[in-house]
Amino acid sequence: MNEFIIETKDLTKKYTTNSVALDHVTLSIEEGDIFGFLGHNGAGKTTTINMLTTLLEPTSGSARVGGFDVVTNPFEIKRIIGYVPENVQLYGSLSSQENLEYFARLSGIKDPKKAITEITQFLDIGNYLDKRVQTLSKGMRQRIGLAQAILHNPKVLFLDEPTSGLDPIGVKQLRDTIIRLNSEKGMTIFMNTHLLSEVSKTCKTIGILNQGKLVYKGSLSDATHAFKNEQALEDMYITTQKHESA
Amino acid sequence: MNNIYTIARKELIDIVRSRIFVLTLGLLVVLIFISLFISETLFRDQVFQYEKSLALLKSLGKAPVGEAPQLYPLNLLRGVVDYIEIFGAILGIFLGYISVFKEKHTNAIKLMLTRPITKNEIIFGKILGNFSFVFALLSLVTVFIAGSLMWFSGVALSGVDVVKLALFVVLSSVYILIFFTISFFFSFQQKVATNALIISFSLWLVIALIFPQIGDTMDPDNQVPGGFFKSMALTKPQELRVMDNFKNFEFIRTGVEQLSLTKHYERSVFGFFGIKKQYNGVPLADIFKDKWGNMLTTFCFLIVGLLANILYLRRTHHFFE
Repeated sequence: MNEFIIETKDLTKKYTTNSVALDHVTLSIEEGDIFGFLGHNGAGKTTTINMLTTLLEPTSGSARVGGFDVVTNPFEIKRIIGYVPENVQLYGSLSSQENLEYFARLSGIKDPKKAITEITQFLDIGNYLDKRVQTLSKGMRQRIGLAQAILHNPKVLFLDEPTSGLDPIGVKQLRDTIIRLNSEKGMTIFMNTHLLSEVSKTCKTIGILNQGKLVYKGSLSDATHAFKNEQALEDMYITTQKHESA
Repeated sequence: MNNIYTIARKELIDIVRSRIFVLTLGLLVVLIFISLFISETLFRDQVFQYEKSLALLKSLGKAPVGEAPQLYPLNLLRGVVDYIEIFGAILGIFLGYISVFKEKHTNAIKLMLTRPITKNEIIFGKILGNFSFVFALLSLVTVFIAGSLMWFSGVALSGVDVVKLALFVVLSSVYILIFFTISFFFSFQQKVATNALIISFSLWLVIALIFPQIGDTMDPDNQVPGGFFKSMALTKPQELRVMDNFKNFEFIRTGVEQLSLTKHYERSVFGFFGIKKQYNGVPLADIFKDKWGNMLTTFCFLIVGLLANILYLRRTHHFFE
């Protein structure tokens, strides 16, 4: 059994344009963690998630999720992960129920209806199941998107900018849900974000990415020790970005 | 297989709930009605002209010459085939484009590709769903065609006619699906969605319009309305002897036509419907024997389209680069 549920070693991604999106990132995340991956736009956060979810192949280095290599065992990884991409909209002409049934079947769930009932109770979205997704608010669509990702009770849940475009109530609901998924279902959460307030309220450990390089990885409490002069997470984040950009 | 069925079912529901279904069904029904009406009117005019000539000859005390125009109801479907060639291809292109664009636009493609399913299951699921839609749409349209034919011509369709119409549904579905695979391929391959449409329509223009038109324009017999050889009162053996002197020209002309999927589809369906007069009254098995090459080539185009998608989608990683 692996000590770490997510491990990367010198993970690098160069795009066809020859730009380096991710530069020798070595990272390890323990099972049961809520990990916040911070960085400005274009820092390489989504590229990292795309590789960990097997959507992209690394140029060099390696990555393992749940002990499985992202290149040689993508199917095994897909069985144990859930994923909510940024701005997920699902299929607008289908109802929430139909969307959930569709993804439940593709996840190999034998009894989709039972799984949907459990998840809708957990997320309190029962009243929206019959509605077509295109008629739902952004916040509700995000919750249905989250529901499809956790139907099969994954070990690891990847969230890419999950609070993007949500109103404050939606943000709080999502934050509470993430914490509950972690505490009640034991899911490891890997969350890309640039909202520092969300990280400080939700995450146990953080990683900071700047121009494709990991410039900090550790617990939130360690972070405040490492940056003694900057108590606030925001100041710390800005400092790491400045150091690297300089 | 379950995943293919799940994806196909979703695809079908998605299309049926969109406006495409009602719009295309409505458009095809109106166009087909108009086409059949025009064909029927032209046929009645032929009969009228023949009877008029007959009456004139009789009044002059002369014996009738030429055969009376004969009504083969399926002959009236020439316009319908033309519509399928043009609008069916456009429908296929739009279906392929929408099928991919929706996935990309909503990020649902990422959700699918992070499920334990194969890329081939995605392709075959989408193709099965769209084929089912096109097949159902054409079946409905063909039922309408059959009813209209009987109504316009006043002639009941024979069992063989029904089989020919069923073959038309299958071949037309395959034809439309080929354009689906073309557009599906480029919609995945191109980062800018509209580029996929531009490329697909450019190919459509070449395949469905330019190549067949080049072939027709180069045909010596098409240089004079009603047929060059007929106007010169040449018999078939004489015609063949003349054409013997143009073997290389004919080789090139036929070659250009052979490149066109539309021409293969057209030749097959024209054979079944007897739009090419030599196939009227010919047993179905004989038409099959004569047209199997065209049908096989049509299916080959579909296989090439499928293979291109399967091979290309093996390396989907670049979508997210």
